[in-house]
Amino acid sequence: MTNVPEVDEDRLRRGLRALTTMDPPALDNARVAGTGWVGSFVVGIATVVLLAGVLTTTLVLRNRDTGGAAPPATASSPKTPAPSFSPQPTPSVMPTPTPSPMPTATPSPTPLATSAVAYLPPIGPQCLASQLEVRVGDGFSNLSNAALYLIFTDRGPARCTLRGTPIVQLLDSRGRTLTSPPLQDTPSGYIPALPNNGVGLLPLQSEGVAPGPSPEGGIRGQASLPLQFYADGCNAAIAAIRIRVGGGTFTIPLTFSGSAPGCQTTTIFVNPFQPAEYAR
Amino acid sequence: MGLIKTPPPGKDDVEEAVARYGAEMYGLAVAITGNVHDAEDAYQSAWSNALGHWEQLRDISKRRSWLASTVARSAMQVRRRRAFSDRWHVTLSEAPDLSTVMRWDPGLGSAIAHLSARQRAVITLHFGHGFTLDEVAAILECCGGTVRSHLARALATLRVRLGDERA
Repeated sequence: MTNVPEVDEDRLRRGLRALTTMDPPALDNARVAGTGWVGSFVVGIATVVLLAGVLTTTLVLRNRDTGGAAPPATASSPKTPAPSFSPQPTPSVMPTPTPSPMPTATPSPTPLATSAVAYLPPIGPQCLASQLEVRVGDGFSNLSNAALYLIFTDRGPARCTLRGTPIVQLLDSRGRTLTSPPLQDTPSGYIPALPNNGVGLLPLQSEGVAPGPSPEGGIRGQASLPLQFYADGCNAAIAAIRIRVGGGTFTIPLTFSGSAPGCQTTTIFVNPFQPAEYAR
Repeated sequence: MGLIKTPPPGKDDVEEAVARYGAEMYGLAVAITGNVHDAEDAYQSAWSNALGHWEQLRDISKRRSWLASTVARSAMQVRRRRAFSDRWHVTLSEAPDLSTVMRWDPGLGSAIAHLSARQRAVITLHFGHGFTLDEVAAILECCGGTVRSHLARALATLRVRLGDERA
């Protein structure tokens, strides 16, 4: 018998025994019963066929959109966790959209960061930079990681859709592109999947009016772009973030500050657009 | 006179086991995973695994420890998956944790939450389920010395945590 007088073993026994009298959840019969080896085999084959189809479709669409000169997919690039930095977003920063001469999805000749997420074919009108407004939303952090949300609002006259992951660059105080920290596109498993694989935005023209929920489950008229990183790092070199979306470019002043030495190198994960319900 | 054959385990057998050991096994899953959502996952997949191998258990008297072993393994697997996934994804919602679940003694729940999954498994199986340390070792598929070491460390941590609570 263990003899540690400082710990009240009776209390431990009582507490843990009470834990074993909790009502268990009802078992999911379909899951518990299983499908048998025949069922598993069929499900396995169907999964392989489905994945092959999705992969083929993605490659075909990518080739079509890039005129056959698609860069190699980098979705499986290694994601090395790096100590990251705590953000201090400038509150209510209004970006200056820089209209592109060709507001299309044509890749920029400048060496912008590559997008690891496959380009999603448009369904319905895509948002144009001229109708979007970007601001820095809330961030949050816990012990191990943190996120910062950039909020996109549709200020145009018509509804539009934001989809996929935009091209993102980090800039230093002189406007030069930073190669460090690296940016990685990463689709998040927790982001709600929408029927059209994007976030549908309704025009939000009345300032001060509570947007209310949209059919997609987000905030009407707003989408967010989550940037994810580890909480306890810093990177004083970053002065702004540049985002290419809707045929235009937004440059948003953004401060990541910190005092610990040697914390310059880290990775920022860029997620696809998602409903803005998580970032007020 | 023919030989009396033991009937194969049927649906009633399973239902009886679920009714008899369900709460106990769910409690073990909660203790190891540390939150209700993960515990439900672990509990479901443990029963799924158990039923897949139901007929392989010859000695019915060992069913309880066999189920405990399955649940513990499943819960630690879920726990590992969660730890891995938390490295990459921001947690957006928190499932009720041990201090919330153990509302009859939240201080103890909070202290237990600071233990590692294996330490939680050891103290729950030993103090909560009443298994001896050797039985716990068999359930967790490790040696007795390891279990005793986990128990000693768990109690040391609890001593500090519960001491802080008293202070």
